[in-house]
Amino acid sequence: MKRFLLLGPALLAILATGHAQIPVTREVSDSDTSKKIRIQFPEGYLDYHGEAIEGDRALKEKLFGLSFQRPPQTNGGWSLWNFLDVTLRVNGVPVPVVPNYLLESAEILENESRLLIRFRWKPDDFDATLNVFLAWYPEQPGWMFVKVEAQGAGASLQQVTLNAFPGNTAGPEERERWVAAGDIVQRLSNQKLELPANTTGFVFFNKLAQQRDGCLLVSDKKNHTGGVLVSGGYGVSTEVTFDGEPTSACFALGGFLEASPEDVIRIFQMEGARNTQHILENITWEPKLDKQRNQILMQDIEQLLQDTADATAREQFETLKVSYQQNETAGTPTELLEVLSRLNELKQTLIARELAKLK
Amino acid sequence: MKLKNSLRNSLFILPLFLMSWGVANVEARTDGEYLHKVKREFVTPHLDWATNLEGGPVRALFLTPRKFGAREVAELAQRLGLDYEAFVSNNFVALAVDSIYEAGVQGTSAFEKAGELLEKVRKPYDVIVLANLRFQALPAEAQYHILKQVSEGAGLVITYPADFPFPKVFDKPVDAWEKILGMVDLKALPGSAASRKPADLLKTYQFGKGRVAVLNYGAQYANLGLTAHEDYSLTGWKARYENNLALVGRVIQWAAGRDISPTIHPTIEGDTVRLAVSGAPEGGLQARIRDIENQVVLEKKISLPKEAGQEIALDGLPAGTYFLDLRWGADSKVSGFGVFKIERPFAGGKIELKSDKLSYEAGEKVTVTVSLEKPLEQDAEILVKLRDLPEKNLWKKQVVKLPKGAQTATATFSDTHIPTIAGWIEAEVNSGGRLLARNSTVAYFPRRDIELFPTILWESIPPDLSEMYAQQLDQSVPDAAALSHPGANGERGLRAALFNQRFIPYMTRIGLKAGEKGETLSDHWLGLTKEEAGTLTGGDGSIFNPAVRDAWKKSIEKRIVGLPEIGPLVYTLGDENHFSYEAGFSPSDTAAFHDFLKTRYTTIEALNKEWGTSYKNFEEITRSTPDEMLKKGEFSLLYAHRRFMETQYAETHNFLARAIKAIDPRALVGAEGSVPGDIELTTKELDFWGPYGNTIDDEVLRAVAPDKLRTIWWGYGGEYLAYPLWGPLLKGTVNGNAWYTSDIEAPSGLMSVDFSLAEYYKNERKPFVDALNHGVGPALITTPLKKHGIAILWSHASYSASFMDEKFPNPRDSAGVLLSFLYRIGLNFDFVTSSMVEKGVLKNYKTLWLPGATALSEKESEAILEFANSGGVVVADIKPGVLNASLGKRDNSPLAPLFGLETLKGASPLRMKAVEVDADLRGKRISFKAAKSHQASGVPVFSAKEYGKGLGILLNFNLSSAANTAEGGLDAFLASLFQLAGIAPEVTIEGLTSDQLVVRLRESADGQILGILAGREDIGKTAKITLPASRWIYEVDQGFLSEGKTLEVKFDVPLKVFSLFDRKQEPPVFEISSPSVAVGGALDLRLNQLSSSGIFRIEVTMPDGRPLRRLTRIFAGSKAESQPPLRFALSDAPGKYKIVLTDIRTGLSTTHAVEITGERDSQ
Repeated sequence: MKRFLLLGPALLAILATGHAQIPVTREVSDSDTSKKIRIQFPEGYLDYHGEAIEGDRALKEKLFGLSFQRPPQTNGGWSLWNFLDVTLRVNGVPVPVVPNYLLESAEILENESRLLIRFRWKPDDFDATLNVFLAWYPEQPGWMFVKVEAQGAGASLQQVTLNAFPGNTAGPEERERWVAAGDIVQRLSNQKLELPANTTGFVFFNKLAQQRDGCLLVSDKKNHTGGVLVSGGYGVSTEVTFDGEPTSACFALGGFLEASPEDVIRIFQMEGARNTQHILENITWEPKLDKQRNQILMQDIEQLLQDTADATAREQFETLKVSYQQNETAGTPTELLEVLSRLNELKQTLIARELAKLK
Repeated sequence: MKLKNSLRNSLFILPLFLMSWGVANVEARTDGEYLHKVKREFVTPHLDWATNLEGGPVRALFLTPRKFGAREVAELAQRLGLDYEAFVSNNFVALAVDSIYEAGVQGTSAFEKAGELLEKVRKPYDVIVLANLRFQALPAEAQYHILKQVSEGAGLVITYPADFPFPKVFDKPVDAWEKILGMVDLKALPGSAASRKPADLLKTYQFGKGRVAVLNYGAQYANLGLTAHEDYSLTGWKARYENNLALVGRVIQWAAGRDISPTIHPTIEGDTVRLAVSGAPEGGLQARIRDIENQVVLEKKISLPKEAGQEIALDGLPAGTYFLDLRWGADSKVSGFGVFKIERPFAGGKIELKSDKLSYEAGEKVTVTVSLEKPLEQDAEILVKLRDLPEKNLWKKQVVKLPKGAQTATATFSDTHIPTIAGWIEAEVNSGGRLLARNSTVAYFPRRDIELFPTILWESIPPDLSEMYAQQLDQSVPDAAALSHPGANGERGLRAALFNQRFIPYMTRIGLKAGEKGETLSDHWLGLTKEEAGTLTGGDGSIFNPAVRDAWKKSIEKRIVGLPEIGPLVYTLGDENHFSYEAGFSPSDTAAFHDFLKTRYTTIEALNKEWGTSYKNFEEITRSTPDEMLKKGEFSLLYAHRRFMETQYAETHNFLARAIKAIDPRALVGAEGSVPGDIELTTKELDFWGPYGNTIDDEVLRAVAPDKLRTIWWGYGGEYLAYPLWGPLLKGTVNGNAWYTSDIEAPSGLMSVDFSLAEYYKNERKPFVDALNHGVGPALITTPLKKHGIAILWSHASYSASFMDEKFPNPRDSAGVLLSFLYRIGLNFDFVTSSMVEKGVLKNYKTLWLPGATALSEKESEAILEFANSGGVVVADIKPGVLNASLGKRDNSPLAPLFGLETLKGASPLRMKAVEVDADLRGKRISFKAAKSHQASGVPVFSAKEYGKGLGILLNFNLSSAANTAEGGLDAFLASLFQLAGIAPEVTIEGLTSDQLVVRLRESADGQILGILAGREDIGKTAKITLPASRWIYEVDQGFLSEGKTLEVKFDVPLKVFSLFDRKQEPPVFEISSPSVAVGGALDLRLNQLSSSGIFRIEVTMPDGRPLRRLTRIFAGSKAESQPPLRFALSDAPGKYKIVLTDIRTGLSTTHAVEITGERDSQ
């Protein structure tokens, strides 16, 4: 505790002055039928591994893991194998997108004041897109904020499942998995426990072993939750089903390490869940613009074009500039991000061309 | 922004926010500055070339790898006016290597490094230096910015050019290289550079408005950035390194657009250097001549241009190699500089020095023969000197005559004591009062002492920048031994010796794995290729295969060359050594297995009795795979197989140790960071073992190898302060410090890339390690843990049984909980092994705990019963002794009567059941409740019986589950069981609540040492310590604290170590043999009044107040009377020295002064 207090002023200074880029790495190896991605950030990593069999819808292999709030030297915390499953409903048909379809892309959209990552699936045989946004803030290192979003006519959310291993995967036989949610404090088993649909704060903890580590889950109260089922003797699953045809839902995934579950539950239920929920509800999920960086990008391209005198590239640049300005004025960040991506591509192309002249 | 505001404005967030922050901070990344920045703070000996450069400092960007380009930037900046920025890549082909180790340090990921680089290359520079970093490793955008900046006028210098991908940069060659090299004599350069053709060494180009220079030393080399590689040597290397940096400086000067056209060229004619000026150099010329050891021997200032053409006289210089440095400029600036080689011939030709041996023990006679290639035409004298290294203090000197015409002379030095591993023998040929020529060689004087608390570092002094690296190592981790591969002919060990660094050669590695059919294969053959090993062993890697032994022996013979001479601290047989129980089925294993059984059982009848089998002879016994034996329930056979593999693993170590000792009879041999096998067996013939950090295994090792060197590697990153060392040291499980690593390239290194100390190490590790080295460590190691009469059985057979059937409990389940309790409560214990019990060790104890002791031998059982019968209290769990020592089933456990049970047999599934104990024993209430724990059926949850004078207690539950489900009171329950044996903690601690608390009491004849390690969450808390009686309390190595029964201590640092005495302590009493001693003499210390239980430190300070570190020593009081005298060198300064003797336990000290008299003789 002394250490926490000592670090308080330093932390405030960081909040006040802002910070440099958040270190994040993305390793990708992909083909038409296989994708392997690891995104490493200061507090953990995201892993995706999908392998499809050509002509077959089901994936041969699938892994979508989140190493976060993981007790040291354990496989605990949020599932390293499938922390999130999402099923969409497309024109009334349930489509289990995450387990069954190969990921299309994983992009780091921001790493300045926060880390914003987007995983995107586009099932071939449905006119629907699933976006899973993950946001992590240096000021809130213990939380990973998640938005699940269905796009496309007739596409909505049907079910989201979040999986965790509070404390660890393996454990002594006597270990018991428990959940505290609202007024309910109950031991979990393989049988699904139905919680009230309006439950928004969950503490997953253990009794009799691994008692000081666990997971926290907060659901946005604006989620159109139709039911919540929790189960788990080994891993813990939270299945959230949705009423109506909502297109998005938000969650905050957290945890606690080396703390008493009683204290955690008390603080969490008193104010922690509410505050986290407040943050969750106020997150702007659209990628934010770094105007200064974009300005430098434009200047770089301008300079390159002056050097190259490439008319086609110049035309392309002018078109993109207009598009950038239009989208900036219109406040359409996703489109803007696309334009920026193309501007970056243009810059890299021009650089490659310049360098090629020296070969 | 909205979110941030909401965070700042929300008071409610605080509790959880702090919790999250704390969690994050536990895993926070280490500040990465030490891997990214090149600072100037670590200054090494160097010469000034042009720090005050005409035109001001060159604005330069260096792109270079961690190893050792980064340090070379700092070295250059010490010599040349530079205003530099550096970008440090992971290695010479990649900016970053993403790995879990790198991820723990800020700024090391590929993403971060690319970002850092792009930020740096956007700034303007006079010159960009690509110092042995492959251009293709840079992102295209960085390549573009660099080349664009160059085309617009910046310079580009490329060293180690390899395959630069843009040939058009080199389209316009220019002849500037001639001018640059016109001032640098190539023969003055190191390594391959000296033999390069000038036009190949340096090429110069114009690229747009920029100048490009390519410095190609003609050899691919990974470990330097700016200069050419040359293996380190005591003579020549330093001077040639200096020369190389002068060349680099001149190249950078040109590339940065400075005018280098004026040149001054020397011509040597006999004893005269004549200077020819070209162009119009202005100002003054400073000429400097250095000898081969880089010592400046002559300096001269000449005004330019009018006096140019003047001469420099060399006639005072003896024969040998020299370097002439020329630097000129106006107004104290340097505008031009260069270096030239001078050779001064000797009429006697080559001087050869030979010592009668290469390596000497302390006190031995050293004979040195000096031979000249050609006889001299006049009488001469040869002065032979012995110095230590690296300081070159003078210890012995002798003049021998060399009459006219003679070619050989011999000097003999008796009773030679050189205090460092390597000694420096010099011979100077003098005639007519003039030094004519000299030469030198190295001999070794191995240090045979082992420090009470030795430090081991992973990695040795490298062949590049050796002096700079060693200088920092010596200042920051003094006297640390280096563990590394020996290199060809022991070159790494020999190099370490030059810096008085002890060496631990990595001799081999043991990995016994299973082939497809279970045949034993050896994974590692250092010194042999896999093909060679395969041919030699025929695919049968068992140590019982004679060909394997032969191959191992050859490998050892190859790798040990050069090492015995320097006296390694220990030889290591590897790290991560391992074996597989799936192996052991090679042809040579089969015969060896039967021999193993015969040795163990002698007769087939004895085996059948133990196993419950009916084999007719040993050869009839055949093994299937371990899985199949397990499925068939052949536990005795499977256990025999496991023992056989453990024996093979141990024998492999032993064989190799014997092979080493056959060559170096003084060798100590062991291994580190390795799988234990049966640790008692594995370490039996070894002298050193480094376990993995595992509480139980480490305690068992302490029990079976109390007097052997034991270390556990730490320093991997992600650790907190010095906990990984503090805990084991306080518990007594290690007696040395092993730090991983001193490698510059590693993210867990202790040095920065510029060789300054890494901040995290300097602030969060070094102060604590220094305190341990200074005295606390040795005090803990030399004072034995107080015996509280507690023995815990480590039954290897029972542990093996737990792998065969889950009905047999794992001894670790209960032992772990028990140890945690004993550490926290401050009760000391010893593990005892089955063989120790059989040999009668129990007589030293009051209570014996048998965690998971399913398998016991007859003799062991008898010893346990006898122990109880004689008054001992035995506490066992589940079903002890239901198997015999061969894992054969018994009809009834021999221990059943001890617990008042008629029968105790069989293996029943362990079921989770509630535990409730409520009993009266010896007038004490014993109670305990737990919701559930594993229990065997048919046995009461708690049984106790008075047995003879003693007591037997059986807990039919394991402590692990019971601890997890206890309804409070486990500590009280365990404490009450110990009280039945009359054992209770002597010291109580209030105010420290961490489960990680460790309290250990040590005791010697005249006092005690109390060590307390607070857990992380207790740092900063104040604890109240209550002693059994009033004591005089001292903080170890600090001083007196108080007298009393209680003490309040603030745990500002986690480890506190106190000495407790019945009476007030006085400063230590010692005498010196004389108030004065002549230079080169020895001073005896009279230490006979010191407590034989004490631990003491001698420190000597020189007349100028600085410590004379070579005379610092820490010794146990029991060795006081065998302490060698303090020896002073001939080159030590005369004057008043202080000798301080400190009683480390009390921190009290006594000082005597001694006058060193006579003339200092450094020559």
